[in-house]
Order: sequence, then C-alpha cells, then structure tokens
Amino acid sequence: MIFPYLSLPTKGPIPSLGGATVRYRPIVSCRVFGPLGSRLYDGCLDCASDDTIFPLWLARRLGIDLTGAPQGQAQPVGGMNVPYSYATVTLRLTDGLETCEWQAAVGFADLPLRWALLGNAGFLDFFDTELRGARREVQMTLNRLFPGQRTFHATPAP
Amino acid sequence: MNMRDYLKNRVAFPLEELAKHRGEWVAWSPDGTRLVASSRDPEALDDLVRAAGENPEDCPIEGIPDTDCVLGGLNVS
Repeated sequence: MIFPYLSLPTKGPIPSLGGATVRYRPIVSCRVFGPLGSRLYDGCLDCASDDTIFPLWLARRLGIDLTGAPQGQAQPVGGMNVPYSYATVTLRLTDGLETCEWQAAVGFADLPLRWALLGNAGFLDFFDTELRGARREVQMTLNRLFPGQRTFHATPAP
Repeated sequence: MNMRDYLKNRVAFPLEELAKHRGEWVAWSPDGTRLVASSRDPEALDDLVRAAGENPEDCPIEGIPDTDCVLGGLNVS
C-alpha cells in the first residue's frame, strides 16, 4: 500500500525546513471499529510510540467499553505521565487497491490528539514501512507478523 | 467511499483553506474534495456531518494543528 504524505500549513516559516510554510507528515486514515460503528481517523505513523493510541472520545463515540480495561501509561516528550486504557479493536487500512484488517490492542488516552499515534504495538509491527521523504509518500508492506486478513480489489475499496 | 479518489483529492486540497481551520478537527467529504464539518470539539463532528447530509462513517477525521510543530500528536508551542 502506498499513501501520500499529508500536507498541512504552518503559521510561519519553519527554520528547520529552510523557511518552508508547509509540513508534510506520514499520516494515514485508519478505520476503527466498535460496537456502535466505525470511524476513519487520521493517524501518524510514529515509530517513537510504543503503543498505538487513539483519543478517548473516539472510544465513547464507537461504544467501546473501557470499564475495567487494562491500564497503560506513557510520557509524551517533555510532558507528564499520561494514563490510557487498552481495548482490543478491529482496525482497517486501505489505499483503495489493497485492504488490511486486523485486531489489535490499542490505547485510548484522554488527550487532545490531533491524530492517532500509530505506534509499534498493534500497528507498525505488522508492516515493513518505507518512508520516502523525497517522494513524500510511504509504502507499507505486510510482514509475517500481520495477524489479520488481506484483500486485493479489482475495483476501489472503502 | 472510494479511497483512491480520497487520497488523490485530499493531497490537492488548498492549504490556505485548511489554514482557516487551525486548532479544529475537520471531517472530510468521502472523496476528499471538501470539508464537510469542522469544530474545536471533535465529539461535535458527528452531528455536524449528519446535518450536512453525510454519513460520519464515510468522512475521515483529522485534527489541524494550531502550532507549527507537533510532537507525538500534541501541539508544541
């Protein structure tokens, strides 16, 4: 699967980018399923994140019961420890030509996350991922750890 | 929803239009050509999307940072 980097405007010139005013990020839309349905939520491929983390409000929206759920804890860069609750959910990723669907234990944190953190456990571990900076795209190839189903489509898939 | 169309159109969306939504969460149209809804409260998006005549399950959600640097999904001032 190949996904283009997403571009987002900045407020001003970025010194680390030679004064550019656009950030390009390896963000993909991941479908999360719960008892009340599913949502496509953007997530950043984040190999610095040990777990895969979604915002808590998304769990509420999808009817994912976190009562008594196992707890995790993370420390964002320079921040305080953040607790989160684990739940096993179904995730689906597609570029329209290929679809991958699997179950994963992910965390739900009460943080104002602009996008999900698609971390190692539950997500990146299952793909061999190539970040192509010059082309501003990412190629993700399933690896032998992938625990789910893979489908190819002759016609575009949702 | 055609993900091929979405990916192609989302990349081509005008950045100056996205910039108007800094600090908000936005819901994209299924084909990625327009924003269906936006709000500073992401939990409000579903109702706004439905009011716009779309199905929330077909509208990708994305947060637009209001700072120029994001670490771990969190804005950094």
